[in-house]
Parts: sequence; C-alpha cells; structure tokens
Amino acid sequence: MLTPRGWWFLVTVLTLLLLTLWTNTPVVVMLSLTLLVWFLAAWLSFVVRLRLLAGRLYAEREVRDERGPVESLWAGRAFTIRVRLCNDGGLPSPYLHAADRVPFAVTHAGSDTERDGTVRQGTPLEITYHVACPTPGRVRFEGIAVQLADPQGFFYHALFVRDVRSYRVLPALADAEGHIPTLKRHNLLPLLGVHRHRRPGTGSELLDLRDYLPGDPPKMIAWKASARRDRLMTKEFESEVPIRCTLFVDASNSVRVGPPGQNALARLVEVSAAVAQAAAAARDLPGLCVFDEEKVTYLRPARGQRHVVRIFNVLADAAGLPATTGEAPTETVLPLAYGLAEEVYPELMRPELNRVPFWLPWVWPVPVHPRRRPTAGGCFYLVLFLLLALVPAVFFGALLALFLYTVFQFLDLPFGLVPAVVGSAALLVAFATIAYGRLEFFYRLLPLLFSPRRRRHARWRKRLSALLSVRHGLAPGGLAALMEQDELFSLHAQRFLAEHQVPYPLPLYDARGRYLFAAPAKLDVLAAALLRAVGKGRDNELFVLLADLLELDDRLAPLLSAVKVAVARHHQVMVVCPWPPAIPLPRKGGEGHEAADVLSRLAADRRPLDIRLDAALRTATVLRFHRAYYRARRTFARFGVAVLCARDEDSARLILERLERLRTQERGGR
Amino acid sequence: MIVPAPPPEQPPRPVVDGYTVVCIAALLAIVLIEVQATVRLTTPLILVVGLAGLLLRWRVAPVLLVLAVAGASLMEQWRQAGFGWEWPRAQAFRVSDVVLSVAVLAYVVAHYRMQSLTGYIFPPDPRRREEGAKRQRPVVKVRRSAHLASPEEIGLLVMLLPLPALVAQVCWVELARPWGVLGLPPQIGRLLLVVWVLAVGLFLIAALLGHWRTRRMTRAEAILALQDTLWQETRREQRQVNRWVAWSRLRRRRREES
Repeated sequence: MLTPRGWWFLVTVLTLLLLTLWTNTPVVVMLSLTLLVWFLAAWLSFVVRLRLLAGRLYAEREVRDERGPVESLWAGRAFTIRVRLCNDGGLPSPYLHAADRVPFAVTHAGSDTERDGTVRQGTPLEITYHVACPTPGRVRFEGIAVQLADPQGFFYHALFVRDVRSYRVLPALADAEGHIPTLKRHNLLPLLGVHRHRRPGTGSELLDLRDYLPGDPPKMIAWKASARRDRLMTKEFESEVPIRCTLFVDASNSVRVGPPGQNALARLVEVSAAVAQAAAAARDLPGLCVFDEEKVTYLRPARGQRHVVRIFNVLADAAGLPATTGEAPTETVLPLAYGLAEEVYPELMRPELNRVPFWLPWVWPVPVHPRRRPTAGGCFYLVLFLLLALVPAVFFGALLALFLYTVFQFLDLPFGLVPAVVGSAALLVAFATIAYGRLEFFYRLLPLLFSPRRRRHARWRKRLSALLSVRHGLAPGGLAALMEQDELFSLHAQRFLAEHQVPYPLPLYDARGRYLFAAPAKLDVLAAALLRAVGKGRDNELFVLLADLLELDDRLAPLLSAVKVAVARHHQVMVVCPWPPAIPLPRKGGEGHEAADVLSRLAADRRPLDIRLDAALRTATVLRFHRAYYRARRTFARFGVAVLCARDEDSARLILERLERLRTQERGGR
Repeated sequence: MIVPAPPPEQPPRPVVDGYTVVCIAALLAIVLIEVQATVRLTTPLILVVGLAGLLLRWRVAPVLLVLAVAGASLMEQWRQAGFGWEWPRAQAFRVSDVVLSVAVLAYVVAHYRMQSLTGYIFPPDPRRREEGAKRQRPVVKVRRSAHLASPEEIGLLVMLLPLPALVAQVCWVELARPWGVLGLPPQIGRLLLVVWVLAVGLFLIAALLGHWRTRRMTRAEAILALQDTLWQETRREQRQVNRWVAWSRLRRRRREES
C-alpha cells in the first residue's frame, strides 16, 4: 500500500522524531510530529475511503459499430468500445487511474484505453477506444484495472473492477465463391435460384409457356402472350434443387496448435463459413458438425438466415479454442499465469489473504517435472549434493566401521578391518534406501538455497495454486494437490490462461520425441459422427470432412469404414486437409518424382554445410508432408473421395463445384 | 479502421505554478523564521536546497529540506547547550515553532503534489514499457492529469495546513511534561511513551481495519482465506498424500507406455 515515496518520507520523519526526542530538540520534535500527524491523517483518510469504496465500483460496457450497439462482432472489421466506470456509493472515490484491459484476440486500433480522475455517483469515468477483430473466435473483456492513490503519491492500491463480457467474432461474410469481401458488406451474395433445374417447379425463373389447362391459377396466366396468340397461355417456372451439405470441422488439438487466428483451425473455419454461407445463399441446406477428441457439436442441415448465424456462432466458438497438453512445463506457464492473476485478481493475490511464510520458499521444494531431461544446473546440484553427502557418510561410515571392528575383536570373531568396512558400507546403503524420501527432500532443497528464481517460483506457485483452486472449484485439498502435482498444475494453469485468452507456448514433442498433438482419438469420433449423419441423411448428400488426417494412415480404418458406408448410400464425400503456410503445396502429378528431384538438387548443392543442412531439413519436412498428402489421397481415392488442401485459395470454390455436380447427378436421377 | 491518437497532453502549467507559489511562500516563511531567531550559516543552505529542489524538480527535495531544517536546529542546539538530559526551554508552546512546522509541511505537501503532476503518482511498474523500437524502452510513468488539480484544491490545502501543526502542538504540550517511566530519564520516558502510543494506536487501527475488511469479504476471498488456513495447518500431511498420488500416476503411465 505504501509507495517508495511514502516509505522514505515515513522513515525520515520517524527517525527524526525519535532522534530529536532523544536529543531534546523541541523545534524538530514539533516539526516531525506535524509531518507525522499529516501522514497518519492522509493514510487513515485514504484507507477509510478505500474500504467504503469496496464493492461500489462497477463497469458498463458497450460495443458499437457505425450503426449502434452490437452483440456479435465480425472478423476483419473495426468496432468502438465504450466503457464506463461508475460508483454507486455516496462518497467520491480517491484519485484513480483506470485502464481497460484489451483482449489478446483483438488489436487496438486507436484512442487511449486509459483515463484518470475521480468517480462520483452519477459522474462516471468513460473510456472510448477502437479495436479491430482480425480473426473469428471469441473476445473476452475482463474489466477495468484501477489504481488508486492519494494526491501526494504516498499510498497506492490496485483493484480490478471485473465485468466479464464475452463476444463472438463471427467469420467474415463471403460471397458465393468463397471470396471474403474487402470493400462492401452488402449485395455481394448472388440472387436466389443459382442452381437451375430446367423442369417446371416453384422457382422464380421463367422456364416456358404452355397452353392453359383448367385448374391453373389465374396469376400464372401470361396475359401478353395470350393476347398475341389469342388463346390463354400459362407461365411455367424453373424448379430449384436443394442439396444438403454437412461440414465436419476438426477442432481437435492437432489443428489448434499455433497462434490464434493463424493456425489450421482458423483456415478450416474460414473455409467452412464461406461454404455454409454460399450454400445457404443458393438455397441449399448446410449442416455442421464440429468434433474434437471427445465430443461432437452437431447442427442438422437446414435453411434460413438464422441457421447460418447459428453455424457461424458454433464456428466462432470452435475457432477460439486453445491447444492444451499436460506436458507443458510449469516453468513456462507459471510466470504468465501469475502475471495475469496479479493483474486481474489482485484482491485474491493480496499477501495478507494469500499468505506465503517468508521462510517457506527456502525449505519447501516444489516438485520438478519428473519427465523432463536433466539440465546442466540439475547435474551441478546433483554433484554438489553427492559431495556434501559424502562428508557425513564417510564420517559415520568410519565410526561404524570402527565400532564393528571393536565388536569383532571383543567377541573374538575371525573378521578383520575389511569386513567391518564392508559391513558399515552395507549398513549405510541400507539406511540411504530406507530414508530415500528424506534424502530426496534435502536434494530438492539444495537448489532453493542458491537460486532466487526457484524461491520466487515457489512463492508464485503457492499463490497461484490457491487462486486456481478457488476459481476452478477444487476441493479444500486442491491447493496442496496443485502444489505437489506438476501435471495437474500445468493443466489448470493452461485452463486459466485459455479462459482469459492469453496465448502461451507449448512443447510440440514429449520427452521421447513423440508429437503431442496428433490427436488420433478424433478419428473414432469423426467416424461415429459421419455414420450418424449418414443414418439421418436423405437422398444424395455431400459430406465435407475438414480435418487434419495427414500422417494418421495407421489409424484411418474406422473413418474409412464410415466413408465406405456413405459412398455405398450414394452420398458424396470430400476431404479437406489443413496445410501449413510455410510448406509449398504438392504439385499436380508430382507424386514419386519430387523425392528424386530434391535428392539430385541437394547433391548438386555447393553452399556451406550449415546452409545445406538447414535446406535439407526443410526439404525433408516438405517431402514428409507431400508424401503424407499423396498417401491420404491414394487411400481415399479408392472410394472416389477427393482430398484437397485447405491452404489452397480455391478449396471453398471446389467444394461448391462439387455441390453443383451433385445437383446435376440428382437431376439425372430424376 | 485506424483512428489517430490524440496529441499528447501539455504539461500542467497553471496548477503547477500554483503549487510552485505555495512552495516559494513556504520557503520564504522558513527562511524568515530562521533569520528571526539569529542569522546562521545553515539558513542559506535551507534556501538553496528548497530552491534547487523546486527548480530542478528533485524527487528527494522535500526530505532534504526537512533534514536541512532539522540539521540547522540540531546544530544550533548543540552550539548553545549541547545535547543533554536537561530540557533547554521552559515553555513547550512557541508560535514560531508552529509557523515553521506549517511552512515545512506546506513545502513538502506542495512539492509532492507537484511531483505527482509532473513526474509520476504511482510507483513505476518495470513490466510496463513505452512502445517503440528501442531495446531499452523507458518504463511507463503514470502522472496525474493537470485538469484534475484545480485551484480549489490548492485553497483547501492551504486552509487545512495549520490543523496538523495544532494537533502536533497539543501532543507536544502533553509530551513535554515530565514523564517518569520506571524511573528512567525524561527523554527516554518520552521516547518510550511515543513508541508505545504509536505502536498501540497502529495496532488498534490495523485490527479495526482488518476486522472491517473481513466483514466485507467476497465469497471467493472467504473461501481462499479458509482454504489457506487449512493448508497452513495440514500442509505436511497433504504434501505426503499428494506426492503419493503423483507417483502412482507416473507409475501407471510408465506401465501403460511399456
């Protein structure tokens, strides 16, 4: 609460007061007492106003576009945020500085997010600024960070006025061919009736004229043609063929890896939104199935603007999902989560409430991740521990050996010094085995004595564990569980960061070098979802699998069975795989030739070794992806299923073409 | 849509000038009182410290001025009577002491308020840096907006300044009486009395405020306090149990992997 300025002032005044009381100097005593009375009065006034203000501050938020307040945001557009800090107490607040916390999912596009002043009843503090939403997902506004101080800057208090508001950022509106508009928002969708079916029906396009038959509705009579031909003619309109198209969007960990908005999931969501919107515009029936390793969110194919908005909502929710793994080291997520907690939950991180005894970080070793590789520092501490343990071990070993030797002599046993030494060594080993837990405790304690960083992390971990235990509703023992179980703590810290939309780095491979985000369990979920959709399907439908299926060849069996069922029932299936942006797309007809080309190019390379090595590594990665793509294409080609890459700008257009082809088939069937 | 940022706020001249006037007036009063008693060598030092602190915006200027005034008084006392156990003056109340205290307080408060307007009011957070391409970006310093410090604020400050001096005078009149604590010399008795009054008073106020805060705790704060108490009481046992759980989980995973 006291600022350094206040501390220095108080220390000076108190020192002067005590010194001059001792030296009997009335002028300075009076002066010190005056300053002290002022200081104490300012402190008491500040504290009392602060206590009276607690719970009286609240925030009002409004998100606007150029027309007015909105409930959902759109990717690629800018919005105005207007937030008011209000006080419903009778007393005005002390001087305060308010800063609205801009979420990571949006970019600040202008105007200041901070303001200072005093908040009274009926006189709120208003902050207005602009943000841009680059990608679909969710945007979570936490609230306003408030700092209060007295005018002299002696006292200071930080609090957070929580006002959690979550807005969906819907995918950008696209035209019928999947192109995202850049200039205009409206009138870009094609008119209805794009898919013509030249048969009489209830469409809007004129197909032909025919003679009037009794029973034809009078409004269908073509009066001009009837007048010219001198007999009644009736208009016939084209029929429209609605196609049902279900999009299966992969939202598993494998596509969530990467920065939000730039990962594979963002591309899949973009393609899905474009296809759904274009299909709905053509009066087709788009459906959606978002799946991950565990669950499925299913929207049955339907028609109408509300259905499209529902699809967009589900896609936006999926786009904001973060990747998580229990293998993330606590050293990485702990500082991030602690910084966030200090900013957003200052009242739960107060030292008087969330206590850490000062001696605890010195003697309370927090468990290290048991699966990580030993570092150089770890080896150093191990050697130091062994050396330190050697001294008492040798001392007690010698004493024990001497004792044994004396006993042997006393009992007149035929053993000499060597058996006594061996016996004492065996006893010491037995003792070390029995007291392994204690010895490990001392071993873990050793780094704490030399490393301030570890002590700091121990302190942070305790405070953060207490907060996470309360926030996530763990049992009363949750604090201790988070303190002692690294994996549990890591998962909860990731959940905490993900809920507040804070990006954090994740390891891609475990200690054994295995990729952590392959997520093969999603294939079973996808297969089950596809079979369910086939079971409920009508006529010929199009199922588009937007999923990362590369390098999962050995786990594809259940999915291939489901695809076989769908194809057998005369449905069409397409696979769209997300493609990493840094990897070039595979060439058409390049299968089998690429490896030879690359090898010959590498052999002819005469550049320095490190550059060649880098190029070879990159080439190997490209080849790996290309081979995986070709394998997947071959696998699915057996069932007549096309495999596309989602990085391809034309992927949405290709899906729509397939829809059109399906319509032609349907017409042929009729 | 990029909206251009508003131009940076101009330095708060008028109110800073108001506080400067208060500081200069207080400095003049201090010098006059010093000169009124007798002309000392330390008087120019006080003037130089006060003016330099004002012109150069020294952050430590208020503390330096207080130390300079105290140093001058101590030197004067030592020159006249030395530091002894005897009380050098018969009267505990003197108008010049009250005026000097008010003047020093005025300088200190006005200078600190000026620092809040021109320097920073909150302690700078090293994690918050100004935007820019430089490697060593300066720390963001939050200063009080100029429009918030009105002339009425200065008027109210000037009106309130005598109150602490009067309270201090009352305290000092009470304190100046001979306090026989455990038969110790009067200075030590006074020292002990002040320390005890301060300690007990702060303890009582802190207890009251703590109780008030406990009464107004939110649900999350109350749960956290209870959970923290439980952990403090049983952390050894809980640690043991949770380490067993962690080990068993690891063993199970290793078995599954093998």
